[in-house]
Amino acid sequence: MIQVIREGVRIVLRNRLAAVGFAIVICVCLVAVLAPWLTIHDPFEINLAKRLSPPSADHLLGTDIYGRDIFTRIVLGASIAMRVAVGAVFVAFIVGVPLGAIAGYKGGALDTSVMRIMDSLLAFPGRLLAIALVAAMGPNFLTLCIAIGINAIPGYTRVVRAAVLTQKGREYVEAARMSGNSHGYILFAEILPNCVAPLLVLVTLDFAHAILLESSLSFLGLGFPPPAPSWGLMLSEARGFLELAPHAAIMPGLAISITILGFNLVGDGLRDVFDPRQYDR
Amino acid sequence: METPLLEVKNLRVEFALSRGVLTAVDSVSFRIHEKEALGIVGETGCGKSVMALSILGLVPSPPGKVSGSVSFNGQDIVGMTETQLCAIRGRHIGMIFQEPLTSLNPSLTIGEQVSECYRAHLRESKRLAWQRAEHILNEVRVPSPKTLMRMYPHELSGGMRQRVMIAIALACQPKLLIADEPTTALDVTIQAQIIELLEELREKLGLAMIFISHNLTVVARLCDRIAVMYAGSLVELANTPSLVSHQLHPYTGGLFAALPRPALREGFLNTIPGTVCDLVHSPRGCKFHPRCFKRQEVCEKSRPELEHKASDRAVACFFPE
Amino acid sequence: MAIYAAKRVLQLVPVLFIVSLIVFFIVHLIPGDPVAVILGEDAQDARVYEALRKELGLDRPIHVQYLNWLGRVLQGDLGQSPRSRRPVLDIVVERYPPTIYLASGSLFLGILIAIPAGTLAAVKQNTAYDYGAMLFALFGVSVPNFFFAILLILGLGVYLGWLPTIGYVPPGTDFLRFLQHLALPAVVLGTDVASSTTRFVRAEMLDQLRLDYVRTARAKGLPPRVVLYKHALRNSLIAATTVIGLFAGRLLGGSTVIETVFAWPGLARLVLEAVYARDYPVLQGAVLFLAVSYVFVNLLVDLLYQWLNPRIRLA
Repeated sequence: MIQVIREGVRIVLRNRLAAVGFAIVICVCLVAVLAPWLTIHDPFEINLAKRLSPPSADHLLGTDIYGRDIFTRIVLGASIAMRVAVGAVFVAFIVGVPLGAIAGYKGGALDTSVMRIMDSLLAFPGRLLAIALVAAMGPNFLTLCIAIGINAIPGYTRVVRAAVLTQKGREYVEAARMSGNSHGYILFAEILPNCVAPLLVLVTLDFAHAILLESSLSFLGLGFPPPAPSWGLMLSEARGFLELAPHAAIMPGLAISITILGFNLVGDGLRDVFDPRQYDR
Repeated sequence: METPLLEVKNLRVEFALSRGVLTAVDSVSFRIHEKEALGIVGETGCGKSVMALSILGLVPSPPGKVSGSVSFNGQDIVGMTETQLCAIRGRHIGMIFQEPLTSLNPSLTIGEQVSECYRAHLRESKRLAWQRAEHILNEVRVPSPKTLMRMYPHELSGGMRQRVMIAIALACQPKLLIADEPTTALDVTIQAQIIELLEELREKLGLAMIFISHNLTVVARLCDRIAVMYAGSLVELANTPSLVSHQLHPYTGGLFAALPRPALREGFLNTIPGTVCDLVHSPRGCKFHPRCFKRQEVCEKSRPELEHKASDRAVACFFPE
Repeated sequence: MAIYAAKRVLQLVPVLFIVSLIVFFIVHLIPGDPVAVILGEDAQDARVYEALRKELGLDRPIHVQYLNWLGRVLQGDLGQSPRSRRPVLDIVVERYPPTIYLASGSLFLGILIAIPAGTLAAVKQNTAYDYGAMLFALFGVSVPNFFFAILLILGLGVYLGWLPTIGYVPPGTDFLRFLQHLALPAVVLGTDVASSTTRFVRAEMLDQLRLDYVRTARAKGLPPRVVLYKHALRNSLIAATTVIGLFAGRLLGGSTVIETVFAWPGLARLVLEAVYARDYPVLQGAVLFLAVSYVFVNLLVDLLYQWLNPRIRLA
């Protein structure tokens, strides 16, 4: 009896955690889209008289070293984080998925060389590559998306290739080929829809990675240049005044952590649902 | 009458699943005396393996739940603590399994896996345990045990692995050996060798044995008595010769009719229509009635008990032959 | 095993080739003229400009430049830093030990936490302990390490004043103070390692406990302790070397963020300094060093895994 209750608790807790994650993700997305309408302050307005003031009715989360409203900047930061994350995942997806699909479908030398390149990419420390790329090409939106997305490409290639390899021999694919459909049509209309589940898990978890990497880069001063309200940059700017105004560092840090937590929870939940072998993970 | 070595009474094993309670073993009762071999036959998924595991207290719980009694030498195994069970498993009751590759630990040497039995039960030194392991491996006829003991399971053939499993099960000279489909995963020639080995060891060591298989021929060759299991319950229990000569339960009859016979080369195999019933929602009345050619109204309403028809012969059917 | 090792070492060749290509071309992606950057004010003088351009070999085709560069690198010549006028190799070698210390300290700490935590979580599955460990792992995965670092600096350093928050003392100078300085950065990176590894060890342990050989071990009458720690844990840990190895590589590949936050003078921070200072030979040298150590650690871990796993070792 106790065991049954415990099992129930576990399942509810699992799903509830995923639900919490989903709620966080939705909130962050809404905030990112509606950012301009959610704030009353100007994110760039400098007011030295009010610098480093603690949270108050006027400034919900206090102000930073230049007297700018932290709440406003965090709200705007959400849209920066989400834009870069979407861009990075898009880059990884648009390069990784076709490569994996074609490698798996065609096989042979093409497959070998694609996978060898992916292995080499994985053999290079990811963050270092991102730092080097941003350092070389300058911190703009496109560079950030490429620098962050490039690390995620091998993941998509592998997942899609594996899925294509298992689906290739199935009857319905044979049937599609018999009825004279082109390779491209079979690949994109018949096979790819079957790897939606693992891709969805990958995309969700990569969102978490992308947001983490973007904030790391901007923390190092390699993201959007000031005064952009990027979360990592805000945290970095507040670093010199930890004793005076811990809230200026804690607020953006919490924003990053909660967002990443949300995506991780959704990703874990999806994996539990889609991958029965990982039931307990 | 002497007390039996093992007496199973009203054994019931249930699993709590999300879609309901699965009854894998349903009020099973039987006895085994010393040096006696009992065969248990039935289709795949009829609860044979779960029943075997429950005799050693190895049914995973949760989700499993075991009730009834299994008394070994007068002690009830159901309800024993893990420590008490450990003193019986491997020491007084040995067990071998179907899949000899996955049943051995891939990252420990054969010598280690055999000798740890002696170290756990007899508290022997590493060296002595190793020597005794070599001795028992010799008994199960593996060539050059010394070399083999330094090898890992994947370096051995299926037949060799099963011999190692037998050595592990018999290491501490148990009174009872439970063999759960020990030859199913093996080639036919290797099967014969393993059966021969078991026959010989049984004779030599005076073992009692529960031999579980879906292969009637093997069971008939090896066992004194045969129990037929269907959907978690025993449907017929008899001495081997009398069961072979005529079957009382229609299911047993079906099993025998389904045996491939070299004499009849028509190219047809008789089969029992249908499949084993769902163990979560088993049918009312006799569980076999949906597949039975002799079913009457009563079969759909009430469930027949296992009743003695002759001396040492029992059947659970309203219309035995 | 020997054949496998040889094969694996041979596979390094294309990987190292691509690494060298990335390192070489990253600098060439930089818009602007490196000669002008080096010369600064003097760039006006066309004669000096041409002379330096020739000296750096920039007048030749790009593939020749690459081969020349590669040839020099293979001889251990990473060029000279135009800023400090010192050989890049010297600078890089000087900054390498702190990164190694931090990497090994964090890895050690991470493993020390993860293996018992993950094992216990699996053994006590669905208890408060299990939920606690998984919650810890979830937060470890979600909280960015630089934020965690700042929280630790704030709590332990600023408010409580227990530990030095930034800086580095070489172990040869004063070992105790070295450890004190190592503590916070190692805890932060160690938490990264621990959270993922705990999850992995737990999942792996649960998988192992479902396997047939565990049933055999129990049927032998081995005490639960022996079944868990001798049989199941052994195989789980063999599998866990892959994840631990991943982190070993990642840590030796350097954590720029953490080295920056704690003013830890390692190789990864050197990368950032070189980026800020536009000191491209140093950037190349440091990235090359980190990338190559990453590749080699991955190789070592792979070989270790093969060696631990008798099924592969003896094949």
